[in-house]
Amino acid sequence: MQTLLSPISPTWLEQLEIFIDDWFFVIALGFLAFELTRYWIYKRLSWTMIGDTITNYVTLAMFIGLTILFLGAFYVATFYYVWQFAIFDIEINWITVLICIVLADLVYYWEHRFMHRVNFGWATHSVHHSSPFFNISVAYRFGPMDSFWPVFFHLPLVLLGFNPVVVLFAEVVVQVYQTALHTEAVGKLPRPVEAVMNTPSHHRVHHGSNSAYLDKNYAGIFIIWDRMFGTFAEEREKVAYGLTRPINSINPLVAFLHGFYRLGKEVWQMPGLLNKIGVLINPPGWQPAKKNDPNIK
Amino acid sequence: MPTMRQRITALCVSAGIIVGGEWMASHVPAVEAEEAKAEKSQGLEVTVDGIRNGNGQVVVLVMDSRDAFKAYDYDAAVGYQEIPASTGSVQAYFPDLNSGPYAVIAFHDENGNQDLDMNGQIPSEGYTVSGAKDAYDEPPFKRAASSDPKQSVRLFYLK
Repeated sequence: MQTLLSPISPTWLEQLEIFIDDWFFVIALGFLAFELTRYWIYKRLSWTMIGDTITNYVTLAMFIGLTILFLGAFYVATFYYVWQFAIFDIEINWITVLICIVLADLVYYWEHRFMHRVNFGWATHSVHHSSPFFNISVAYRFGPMDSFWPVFFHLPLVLLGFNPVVVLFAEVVVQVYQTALHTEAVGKLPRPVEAVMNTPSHHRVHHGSNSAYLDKNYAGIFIIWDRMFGTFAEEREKVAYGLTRPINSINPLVAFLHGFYRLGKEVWQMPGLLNKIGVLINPPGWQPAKKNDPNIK
Repeated sequence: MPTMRQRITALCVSAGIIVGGEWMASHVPAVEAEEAKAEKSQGLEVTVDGIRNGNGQVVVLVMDSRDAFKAYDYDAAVGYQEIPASTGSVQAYFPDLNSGPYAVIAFHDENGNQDLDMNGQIPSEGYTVSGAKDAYDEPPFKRAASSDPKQSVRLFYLK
């Protein structure tokens, strides 16, 4: 209890965050080698898969570039600006960091659900889902604005009183846990684990384009959020990974930008200003209700 | 497909969990703050040196303010102890004095009348204040006071 309650310095926590993030990247590369070897043994390794894997890391590089150039400073500045108005005074120790991780996980659920169900969020997040494969490198496949929308979802945690450093640390923990789930090499885990925690099985469902699997399992660490809020689906049928309208390309630029290209085209082609706004804020695939449609009464 | 009602309920439940969680977090204490206090709460230990005999008692006064120190005000002292005198040195311990700086006044009450006897302007019993360099030194509070939890003073006898 003493160790759990003794204060943690924000600087140390920042360093720990970088340490976890960087070393996990290295471990993930090792795991990727294992996964590719496994596919090779099962004779499922193809040049498309290798190209897609490289594309994943290219999108990561572009994502990091954009984050460093534009978003990083904005992220930190917004957090510290809002923190001035913090409502609660919260110590930094392992107990409060753990509480923050649980809350950040709930926030992640909503951020993730938003990115799937609001078309302008999906424009960036669909990049992550555009791979027809499922291995740990897919976890590093990011869209241009994947680090932008989370800012707003995590602001309430800072406004309520968590130190920005703690919130950023919690975000990384959730992200790293989620990253580890991107694999076909792990089957189902013991039932109590599958009941509470997000697992590779649950996350495979999330990446499925099967109709039963669409818009399911948004969770980061705990699958309980999906179970509570009615968005859970169990892995039963074989998962068909990727988008319902596949991009059929391993070109990194196509992968990185296809979401915004699609959104732009949809908005451009939609007649009427209100309908154009409707395309932006409604779920992907939204069509305005047709008043004169004989099929709708 | 969740209904709008389910979505709103889910959002309200989530907001409740987040506010409740942060409220809980704000009630988690920091342990080191108490540890540091425990470490700090070792009190004040005053050693009085140079006691010439074992007659009567040594009176030790601890002052935490400039005015009390300047006026030698018994009533305003934050610490007061009478210790039976013994040749050489005695120690006074004040467990509650943890937030210095403190200045110390001590005298050797050889006849046990609880007062520093004077012979005109000159004390006829041994006396001292912390920070004093000699018997005639009257250091200001700033120099006399110290945050050191262990202080030692030496008595001066003019007679």
